[in-house]
Amino acid sequence: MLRKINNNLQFKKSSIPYMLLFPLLILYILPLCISMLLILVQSLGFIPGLGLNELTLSYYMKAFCDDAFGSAFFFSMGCSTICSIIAVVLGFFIALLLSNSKRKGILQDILQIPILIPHFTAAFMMFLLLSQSGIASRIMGSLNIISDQSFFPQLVLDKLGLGIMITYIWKEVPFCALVIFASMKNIDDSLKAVSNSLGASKIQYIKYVLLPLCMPTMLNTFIIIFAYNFGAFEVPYLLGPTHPKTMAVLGYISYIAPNILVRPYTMALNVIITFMSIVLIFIYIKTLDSIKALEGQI
Amino acid sequence: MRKFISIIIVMILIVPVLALLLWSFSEMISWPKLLPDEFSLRIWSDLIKSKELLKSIITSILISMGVAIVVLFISMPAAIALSQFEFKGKKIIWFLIFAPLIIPSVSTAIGMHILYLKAGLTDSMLGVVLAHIIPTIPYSVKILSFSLELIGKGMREQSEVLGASMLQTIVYIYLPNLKPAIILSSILVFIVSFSQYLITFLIGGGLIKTLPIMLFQVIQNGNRAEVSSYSLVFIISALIATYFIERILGKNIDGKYMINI
Amino acid sequence: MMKHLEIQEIVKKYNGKPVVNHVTFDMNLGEFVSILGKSGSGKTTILKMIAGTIEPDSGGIYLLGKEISRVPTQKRNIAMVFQEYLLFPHLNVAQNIEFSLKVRGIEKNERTKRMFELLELVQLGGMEKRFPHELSGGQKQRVAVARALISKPDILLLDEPFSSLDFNLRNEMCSFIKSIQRETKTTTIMVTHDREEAMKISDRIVIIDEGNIVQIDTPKGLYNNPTNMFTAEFMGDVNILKREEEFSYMIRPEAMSVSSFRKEGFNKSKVVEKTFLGSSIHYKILWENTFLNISGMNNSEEYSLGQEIYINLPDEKIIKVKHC
Ligand SMILES: Nc1ncnc2c1ncn2[C@@H]1O[C@H](COP(=O)(O)OP(=O)(O)OP(=O)(O)O)[C@@H](O)[C@H]1O
Ligand SMILES: [Mg+2]
Repeated sequence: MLRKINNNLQFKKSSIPYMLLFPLLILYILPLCISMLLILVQSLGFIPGLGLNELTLSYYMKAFCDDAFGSAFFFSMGCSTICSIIAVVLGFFIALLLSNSKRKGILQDILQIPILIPHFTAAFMMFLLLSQSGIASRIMGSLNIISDQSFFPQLVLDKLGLGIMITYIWKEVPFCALVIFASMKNIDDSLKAVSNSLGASKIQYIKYVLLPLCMPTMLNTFIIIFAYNFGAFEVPYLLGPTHPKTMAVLGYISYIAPNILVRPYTMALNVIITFMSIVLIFIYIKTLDSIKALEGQI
Repeated sequence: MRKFISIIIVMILIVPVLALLLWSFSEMISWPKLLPDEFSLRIWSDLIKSKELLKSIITSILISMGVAIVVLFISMPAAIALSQFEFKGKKIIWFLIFAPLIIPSVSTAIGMHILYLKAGLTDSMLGVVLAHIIPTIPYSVKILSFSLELIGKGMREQSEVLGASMLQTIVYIYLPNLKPAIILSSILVFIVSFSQYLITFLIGGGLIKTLPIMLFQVIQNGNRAEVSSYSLVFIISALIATYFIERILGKNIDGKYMINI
Repeated sequence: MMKHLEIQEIVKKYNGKPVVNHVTFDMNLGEFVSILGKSGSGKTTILKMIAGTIEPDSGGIYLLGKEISRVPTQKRNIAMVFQEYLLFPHLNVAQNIEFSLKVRGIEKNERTKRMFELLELVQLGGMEKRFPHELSGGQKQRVAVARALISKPDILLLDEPFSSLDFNLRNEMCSFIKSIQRETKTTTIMVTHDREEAMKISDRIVIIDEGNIVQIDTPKGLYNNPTNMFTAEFMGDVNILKREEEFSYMIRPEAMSVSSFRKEGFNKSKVVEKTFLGSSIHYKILWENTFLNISGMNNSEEYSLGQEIYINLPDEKIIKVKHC
């Protein structure tokens, strides 16, 4: 059967990769590009269906002038940067622990649990643990450390975004640990023997050999989880304060708002969020690169 | 010391799950008690009788299986093209493949919603499956092309020299040799799709009720016992489904194609 | 008579740099030609262009007069054994050997029959159920050859087929391949960087350096009558007698006659270095300000360090070569 198809088709060699990419093009690249384009066009105020036919930048102006927007930007950026850095750093240490322990089976299996759990469920779990009526507060209450749940610090729905960050960290540290551990496994064991024979202590080996070799993976992981945390709406929607909101929550709420005339404003907001995300990632990549270059000189 | 740290980590990971378990058996626990006065099976017996829940599990599994299959058919040839051939525009394709990891999911979801409204694909299972392609492709293509790079170009050239067409090479050579990567990527795609809320919510328009949609609803209602049991149902179904994906793929991707096709 | 295979002026560039540069040669039916060159000289690239896994930038490849350089690999009926064997790890020996018949839609019985013939030919009877990881290097090699030959290819291409075998096995496989090639009368091109291997096995040798053909001739022709310095040095030890603007004059060590006493036409020289090499002994001697290398058999007369000996350089053995 395969042979017949084969005989009827003859292609120039250089066209083969493009044919292989055809399904991707039709089912992925085109929808992705078109939907991004639609957002862009609508954000410029062009929605014929609503009688909006003029191209204008006014919706961007409006977005930038909005107070909520500025605080949302700093809130999103702060939360996602802090928790992504913590997740990657903790991930590195757990990966170290994994690569040093003999019975890594159990720990490795258990690390996969949070990966199976979606972010919004994780958010709920953190709520169960950390809200004022949560388990942590009950433990403190039972031990008579606090006499009433209202004395328990507000960790979820708080202005600082602690609940959001704790959820992200709980969910993403295991992911980072497993990814970094996988890249550690690829590092030749003999490197350890060599550096030991050169007189490096264990900590020096980690600092001068292991860490630099894992660095590219850690940077990639950081970028991936940062981008997710910056752009996802579920966790901050469930665990974040009413003010400030994150950019993603702002974008979502504005989209489901019943007033359809705010549509172009919503789209402008989304274009800005996307743009910010890309710019931030670009800046992080550049900064991290220059830090690496600097380290190289020392 | 090391053991101590390991235990702490395991605790931190497991305690939230145990909390779910505890709450799913309790109607009400007054502060500051940790355990309920009496354990109750009411929530679970309601759940088991719930037709709606069963339906949403089935919907979720069907959709995510569908996504896993479609994504495999898209990403397998794409990964071969990207890892085995040199061609113009490769960098752009890679960039586009990773784009969903960078573009905020809120924006892609909204963009897809507008597009699908225009295309008349909203409110349907098909629409949801097609929409889930976007967030899952990066993982799948990356995993497959990584393995393909390890296999190298030689295997393909050898197969061609022996007279095999591209299609034959894929079926006879790549599929069996990529088995672990295909299993891994399918499981990951399944889980990512299984956990999607926003895209399903927008494209499905509330008509396609997957587990995450139900779960999000009960979370917003805020009954702890109910949310806990739904969350456990979600985790258990994800576990069972991934187990079966592994079994099914493990059995069927095999050298025995060699004899049959 | 029509040539079986003609390669005309093929060029392949990577990043603007020619890796194969206007290569031209042809082959008769049943001929065994080796392509000999250093690592990175473009040998594999030439083979892959003939096999069709790489398209040449320009030039033509003709099989029985028909231009094939744009014909898809699958339709060329040219089999290639790659440098790294590339047995399919998930298929057993029988399935590996049958592969090209299977993808061509040959029915099962016929396939099995041919497979057993080939298995016999490469002397692996009884191993058809084994998997590649259960085979030794030489056995893998033979499976790869059997797999290539089963479709009765017009041309067989071998890319350094012995490079990953140890020395003894290499010799054995070398004569083995040659005998199979004779038996099947398959036109064969072998790539190698091992001069002795090429000389032992080939009807003709193509010497290539940095993508350019340096010389094509029979092994004997290349050794005795190199036209240029590169070939001369590549094919064996030489003593350079005189350098001029464009040409050099030189002689092979064994072409000189040596005597321990003065003779008519012999010149005086002195042994300055002596190396024992088992079956032979190498001497470095000083003759009129020139150092020469000569070798003597272990069972012939032995000279001692510092001894005066007399050498004769027959005019007809002196080679005149171009500088490259
Ligand atoms: N895909 C490629 N892209 C860029 N350069 C390449 C590519 N393939 C080969 N080359 C270069 O072309 C040159 C010739 O390569 P080729 O593999 O033909 O050498 P070779 O003679 O077979 O060497 P060896 O004896 O080591 O196998 C080398 O310098 C190699 O680096
Ligand atoms: Mg080579």
